[in-house]
Amino acid sequence: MAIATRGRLELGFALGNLVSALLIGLSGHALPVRYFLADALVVLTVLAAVGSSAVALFRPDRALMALRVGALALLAFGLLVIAAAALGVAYLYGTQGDFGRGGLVIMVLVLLLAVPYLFVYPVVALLAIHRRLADPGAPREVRGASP
Amino acid sequence: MSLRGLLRLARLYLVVLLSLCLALIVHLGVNPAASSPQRSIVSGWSGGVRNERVIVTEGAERVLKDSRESSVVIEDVVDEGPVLTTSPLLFGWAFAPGRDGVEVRYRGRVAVATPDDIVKLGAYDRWLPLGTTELRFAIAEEPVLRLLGRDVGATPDELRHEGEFRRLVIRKRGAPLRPPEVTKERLRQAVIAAGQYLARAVGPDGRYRYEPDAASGSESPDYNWPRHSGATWYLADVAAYTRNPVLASAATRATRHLLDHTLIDCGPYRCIAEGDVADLGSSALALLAFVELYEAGFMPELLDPMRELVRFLLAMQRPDGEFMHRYDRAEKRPIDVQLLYYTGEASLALERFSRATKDEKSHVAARRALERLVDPPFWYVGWRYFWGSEHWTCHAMNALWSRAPNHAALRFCLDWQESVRDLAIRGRAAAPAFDGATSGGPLVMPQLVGSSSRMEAAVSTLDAAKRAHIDPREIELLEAGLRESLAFLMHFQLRPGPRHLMPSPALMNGGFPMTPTDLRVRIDYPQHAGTALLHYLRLLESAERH
Repeated sequence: MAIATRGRLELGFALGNLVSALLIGLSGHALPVRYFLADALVVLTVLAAVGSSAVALFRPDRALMALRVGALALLAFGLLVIAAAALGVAYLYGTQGDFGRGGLVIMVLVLLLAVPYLFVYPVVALLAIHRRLADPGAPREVRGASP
Repeated sequence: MSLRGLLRLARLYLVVLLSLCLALIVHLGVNPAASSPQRSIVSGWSGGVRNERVIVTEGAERVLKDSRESSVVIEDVVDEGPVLTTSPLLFGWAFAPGRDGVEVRYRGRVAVATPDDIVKLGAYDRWLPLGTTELRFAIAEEPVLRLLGRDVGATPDELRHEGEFRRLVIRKRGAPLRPPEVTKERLRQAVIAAGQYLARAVGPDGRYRYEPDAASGSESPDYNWPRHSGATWYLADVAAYTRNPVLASAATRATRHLLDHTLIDCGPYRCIAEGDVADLGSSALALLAFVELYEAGFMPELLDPMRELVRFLLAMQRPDGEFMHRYDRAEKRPIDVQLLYYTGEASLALERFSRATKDEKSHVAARRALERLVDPPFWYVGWRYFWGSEHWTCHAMNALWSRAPNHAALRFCLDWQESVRDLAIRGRAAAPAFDGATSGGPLVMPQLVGSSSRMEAAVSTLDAAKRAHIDPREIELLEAGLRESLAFLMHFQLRPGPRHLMPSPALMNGGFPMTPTDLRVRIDYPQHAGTALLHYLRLLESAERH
């Protein structure tokens, strides 16, 4: 039962990374302006997330390390995006003053849309992987191994 | 990474990010409420052109005292702030539209673009291309740099590379900061001024000057028959209210133009159209204008054209109450498509015709159309949260109320108005005068026409709600929001507005501009605003009589 749970967990994060990579890739593609720094950041994050999923799916013995790298990449990307958004809001607040209640509602909505993918998911993944790594004695599920 | 490690990282991240944000806000922030000006920019304007400019630290009122310019305007710099970059995206949002000016220093020379200059350029609140899309910017960089460059002898590119920019927070001396109080007298003045604006806009041939720009003096080549009819409806309405012969004469001219040039065959019927495809809205709004003029006794000869238009409208109604909104004149058949507004317009026009002539068929058609309008498909849950521009629906609801009260329609309009109230602009620091505007986001300029059409609907809703004796608290909220928005509208009506910017200020007096900084006046802007103000004035007068 424990083995099955652990396998599902790794599979779940591998798929979760793919979903996050897809969302980040589509969002990056939808940007109206091509800016090499932003594009490079999106490409690197997508590569890290997809690569970690691929390793987790096809090399189960390295799954946890790969997923950790993927989650760290997603978290770093998320923190950068949130920082850019916060600095953008601060810039607008500095130049335009208080936006009023309408502005606050819009900002909160945007934040609520982005935070689950860019912050909550990678943090949950990192914590789960850390717990797994901290428990080295536990049996691991290895694809193709005899029961 | 452990939970403790993550928490440590999060704490560090938050501290650094919040510090950066705070530093940015403090660095960029300004104090628009500062009481004493740091310096004053005195400009002499004539015929909409700025010919003189002096910047002084004191005694501004004495400068240009003997100027031969027709208007001397003092703009006080009450505070200033940095401009971080000339990157179009950040520069475009470095200024509060309508309030901030731009200063540049270039090789020892200084030039200033004040809010007046930027309004004159039409450079505030502009949609500009950004890659594959367009984005609305607080200020358009290129025209402002061209203007500044002219004064310091540099090209925009030279200014971008070598210029040092500052943001100037400017308060125009003598300009009212807060919207006016809503009183019957102020409403009356605003209503008549809007009517006079439209009357001046009707040429001898009965066509309107469609969309002049008060700041540049240019005119749009566009024309639109539903808007011609709508503007004529308001002219007729205000002429009936004031019994003013000049307004009545203008409404009559605009109506004769419709009769002589656009009332044409649509198969076996007569409709208002130009070209092969007729739209329902032109005929519906023309009927509305005709009814107003007929009822007021200005044009009794309109009875026959009214009946012809009613026959056309009735023929366009489907069995379920909806209207087909287009008619193919070549094929002589209706086109069953639905566009915004037209069903509500037809319902209102038919009911008004019915009341004027006691025609039962048109009343039934109007009632069925309204029932259809407020009966969305059961699977669409969005209708509880999202509304289109439903002003005609609410006008129709109110017009029908005395003979066929539709409580679902009243609830629909009340809910819409609640949403309008809740999303209205309030407390925007850069523009306290925008309080009560009901269109425009938290940063972009509010369009007056959006607030106008919502407020004309609010008046109709208020009228019906009072007659329906709904909860007085809801009526109170509705009326409070309405009055706040009407104050906003009157505040920005061109009475006379920044007349020194205008090549022809006398022509523009009474108009309602597109936004506070975009002074284009399309004929439907005074129509919608005027209707809201006039109908509310009538409500107040009626309440007083009773």
